[in-house]
Amino acid sequence: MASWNKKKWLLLVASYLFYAAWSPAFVLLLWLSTLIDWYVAKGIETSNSPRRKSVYLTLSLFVNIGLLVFFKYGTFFLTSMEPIFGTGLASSIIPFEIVLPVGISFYTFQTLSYTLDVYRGTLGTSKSLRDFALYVTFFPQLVAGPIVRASDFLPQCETKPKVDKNQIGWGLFLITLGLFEKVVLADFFMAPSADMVFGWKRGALSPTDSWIGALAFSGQMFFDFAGYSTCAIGAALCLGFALPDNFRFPYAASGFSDFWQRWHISLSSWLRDYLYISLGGNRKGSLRTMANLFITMLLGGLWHGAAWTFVGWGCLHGAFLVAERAAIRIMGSFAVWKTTAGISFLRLTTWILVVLSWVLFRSQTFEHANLQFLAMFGLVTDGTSILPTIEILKVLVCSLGLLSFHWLLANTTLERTIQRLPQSVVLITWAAMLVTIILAQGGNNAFIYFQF
Amino acid sequence: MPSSISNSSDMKRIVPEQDWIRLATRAVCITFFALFIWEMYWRSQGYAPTLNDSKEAWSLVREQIDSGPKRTVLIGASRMLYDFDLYVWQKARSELPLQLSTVGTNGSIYLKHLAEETDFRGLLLVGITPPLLFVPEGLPVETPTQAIDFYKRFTIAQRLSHYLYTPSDLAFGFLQETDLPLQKLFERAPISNRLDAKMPPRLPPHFLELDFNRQGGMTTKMEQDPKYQELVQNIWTPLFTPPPPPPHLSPEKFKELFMRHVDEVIQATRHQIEQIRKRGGRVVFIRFPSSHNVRMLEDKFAPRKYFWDRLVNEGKPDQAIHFEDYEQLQRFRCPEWSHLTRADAREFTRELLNLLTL
Repeated sequence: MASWNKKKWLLLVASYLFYAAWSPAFVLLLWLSTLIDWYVAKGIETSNSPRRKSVYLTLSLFVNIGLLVFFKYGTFFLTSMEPIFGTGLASSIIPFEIVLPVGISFYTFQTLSYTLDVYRGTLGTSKSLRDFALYVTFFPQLVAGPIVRASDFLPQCETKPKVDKNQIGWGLFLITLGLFEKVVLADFFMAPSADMVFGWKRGALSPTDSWIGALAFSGQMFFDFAGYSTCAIGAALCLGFALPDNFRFPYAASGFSDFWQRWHISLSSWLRDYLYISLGGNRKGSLRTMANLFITMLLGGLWHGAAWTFVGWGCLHGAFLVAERAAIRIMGSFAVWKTTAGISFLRLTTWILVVLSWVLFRSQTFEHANLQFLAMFGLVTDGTSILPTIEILKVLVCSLGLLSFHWLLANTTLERTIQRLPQSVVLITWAAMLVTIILAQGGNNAFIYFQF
Repeated sequence: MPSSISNSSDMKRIVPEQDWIRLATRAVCITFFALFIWEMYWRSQGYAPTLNDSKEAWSLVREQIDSGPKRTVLIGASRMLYDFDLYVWQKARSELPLQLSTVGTNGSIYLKHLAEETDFRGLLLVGITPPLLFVPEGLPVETPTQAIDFYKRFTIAQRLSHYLYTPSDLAFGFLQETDLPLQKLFERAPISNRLDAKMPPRLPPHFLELDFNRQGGMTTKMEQDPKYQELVQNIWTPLFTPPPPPPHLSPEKFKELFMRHVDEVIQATRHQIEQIRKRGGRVVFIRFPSSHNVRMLEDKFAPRKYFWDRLVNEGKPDQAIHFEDYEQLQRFRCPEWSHLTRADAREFTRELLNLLTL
């Protein structure tokens, strides 16, 4: 037990050093969030008065949401009010540049989930501040998730895990897979086209270029983020910890409810459990349910960044979910949806709508997104072609591969698939991933979700 | 939906049944073997290990200005990187200059940064490549802007990463970043583009080798292989030819707007030189040699009378050295029409030292 405690201290210090390697000063914010929620949760648990519990919870919400609002949204909200209050409002109130601390959107949500679970009575407080601090700061998932629940992580701290060689080997495979997704699939196959198309500022592009750019970003977004999550899960496994899945082949989703059970699962489940259900969920009639869905997705969009295009993206997904609910009420019982053709139609439709929504997510402005949509639907006649043929081919091949893998593995897991493969196939795949990661060399491209 | 967690009440991930340690060992062995073959192939093609010109390498040089604001600093594009020898200067003046030039760069971005965002007050040598200095957008502006932005946020993690990667850069030729990453190899695939597609200019391969102090230099292949030199000469022609005016502007209007931009650049240059001079610094402009078609294009699109002469007369540097004005600077040959060989760079630097009055 003594050696396990020592290892936990080592992991905690290593996690702080990991974060400090980006910015030593912002470790203070991590400590603030950790200490506030540690004492707030203790206060909630020991307090008999519901009013006092609410006060403690409000303090936790105030600090965590306050940190997010200040660092992430302060300048954005003030700039948005300038059409009403005049130019220069933002710079007069905040006369300095605010640096967004890496991972703040993730660790504040993580600590908030702890206090909310304690408040609801579904979780007891941690007995060890060190274990709680490790839960907040655990370096594999600190900067870009998965957002881990205390109920999943803290029990793992209590007893020393038995880490065998196979677990470490599998963890290393997952790290390789994650890096392959990021460095090769996202940065090599998809990013060049996405960057060229979304970086073009001289008017409309041709329909081909616009669609390829949208496909490219859809692929890049998945591989980049899923790659990070896979690395995080693999690294945690090597250290003896289990993190939850964050993606389950989302481009095989047959509808938007299904999509959000497959994409960024840790965020969507957080929003469901702490926002949607708190707003009333589906318990207050269909109109209120739809409103709750819409609000949840709008705020989910805003979580991603301080820009109206992110809010627009969230609203779009909210609208898709609402429309889906209405469609299910009218047509949900039709037998066709259980056939292969019906499922394929749903999957294809969902994927195309998701691709279109990524255009809004990636565009700098609504005008740029609008121009791209017009080009994609052939409503612009003099669009420019800028993509080399080789880049178009890379995006098409990779997108086809991505869709195929997702559709084939939609109802299984990566672990089951790997288990069924001959050892020679796993070996060649692993070696090929390692070689291509090194040959791709990376381009110093940070993970996309670091900016959230 | 199936899960990778074995048990919903006990957080434990499923590990597929394979002999993972044996697989890992074999995968690493296969990887090393494949990379060995790859390295041998690229060595046979003339690629040697070199430091890559990364933003980290630039930042490590840049930060030396903060602790040594009176140092000699070099800014500009590839000609300043290639044609100036840091070690010849060091031997003569007992000081290693700080090389901040980057390939294909509008040097005025670095001048503005040094004048307005630092306490620099040493000797600044500015390599002037006339067309580049007046380019308002695109890579010549993005490259130095990104270098400066990266420096401002240079983290401990990025510094450590650079120190970790550097030994492998120096050991393996295939890690050369300008030609050999998968992205660059695929760009050279013989697949024709759409007729109406606007393609970015292709940059010359085998272009640059760099050391720890950012001393750039021509590769041996470029110095010795006439066929390769011809290949690069053919690449310079589109690169040194400016794009046509946008369709919504007449040529006259475009020229008017461009010359207004040139006026602004010259005025800004003068102001920035004065800022540096007020602090005790000095600024020298240097125009390195070019030849044949490259020189013809430069004279056509950025004639000396309207660009270099105006920059010197109105910008008022402390000294200006144009290779055309000195016989001893005209004897050098540019194998690919735009840069000097390493031996000639050393000689050119010695001649410069003799000409400098500061």
